[in-house]
Amino acid sequence: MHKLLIKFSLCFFYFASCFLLLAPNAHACAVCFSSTGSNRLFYFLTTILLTFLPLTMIGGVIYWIKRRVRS
Amino acid sequence: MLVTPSHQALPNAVLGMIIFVIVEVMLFAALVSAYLIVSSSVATWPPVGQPRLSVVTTAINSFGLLLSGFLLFKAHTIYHAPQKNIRFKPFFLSALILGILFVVVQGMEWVRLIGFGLTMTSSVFGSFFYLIIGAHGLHATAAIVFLGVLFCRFKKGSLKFSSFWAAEIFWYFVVLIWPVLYVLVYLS
Repeated sequence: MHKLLIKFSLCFFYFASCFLLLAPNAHACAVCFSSTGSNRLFYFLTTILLTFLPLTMIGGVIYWIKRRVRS
Repeated sequence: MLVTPSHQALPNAVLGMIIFVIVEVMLFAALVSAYLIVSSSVATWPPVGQPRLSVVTTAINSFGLLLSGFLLFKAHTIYHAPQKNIRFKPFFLSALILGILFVVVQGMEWVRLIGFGLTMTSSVFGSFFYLIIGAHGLHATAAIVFLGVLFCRFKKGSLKFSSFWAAEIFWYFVVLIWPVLYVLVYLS
């Protein structure tokens, strides 16, 4: 029963994935298609900010906790 | 019976507050990003015809907020000192009062700006102003309520250091994010 369920799920997944081939391009990336000359720089900068800020904060907290554990 | 002390590196309340603050920093980062992109898309920012913000009054208010952060830090350093009960209270209370003053003055400024015609629907600038500064004001109010509750516990003698430390972290977040918002929104 469990194997049958897994087989059915995989078949459904492959079938549903075929619909991805039918979809046209959406051109939905805000940075690539909605930016103008004046705000493209800010799009890039804010993308970098939103990418690295959480990594920096979480990394910093983990480093601080490790130091406290060692001390 | 011997009771072994806890060997936690960090109290749970403090770790939980740090995680919460990280989430809130990302919220403000998203708001600031949207603001920067929209403001850079137009030729004139702030838009023509919108009331200008009171930079000087808010600068003085900002100084009061930064001072309250410093006073709370001093209260933290005094917490474990021998004469904690005498010296801790003035610093804690001063920080709380300065925080309340900040929120009250900001509220008064808002009433003035609404009277001058800057509302959430008057322009994109108005929408962003009230959204970003309003979100900060909401966080400041919540932090003040938290600190107020802890001050009452201190008066009763039931204040736990972990609770105070957690509230302190939240207040530092409110205090330290304000200069960024002030520079971006008020000085744009």
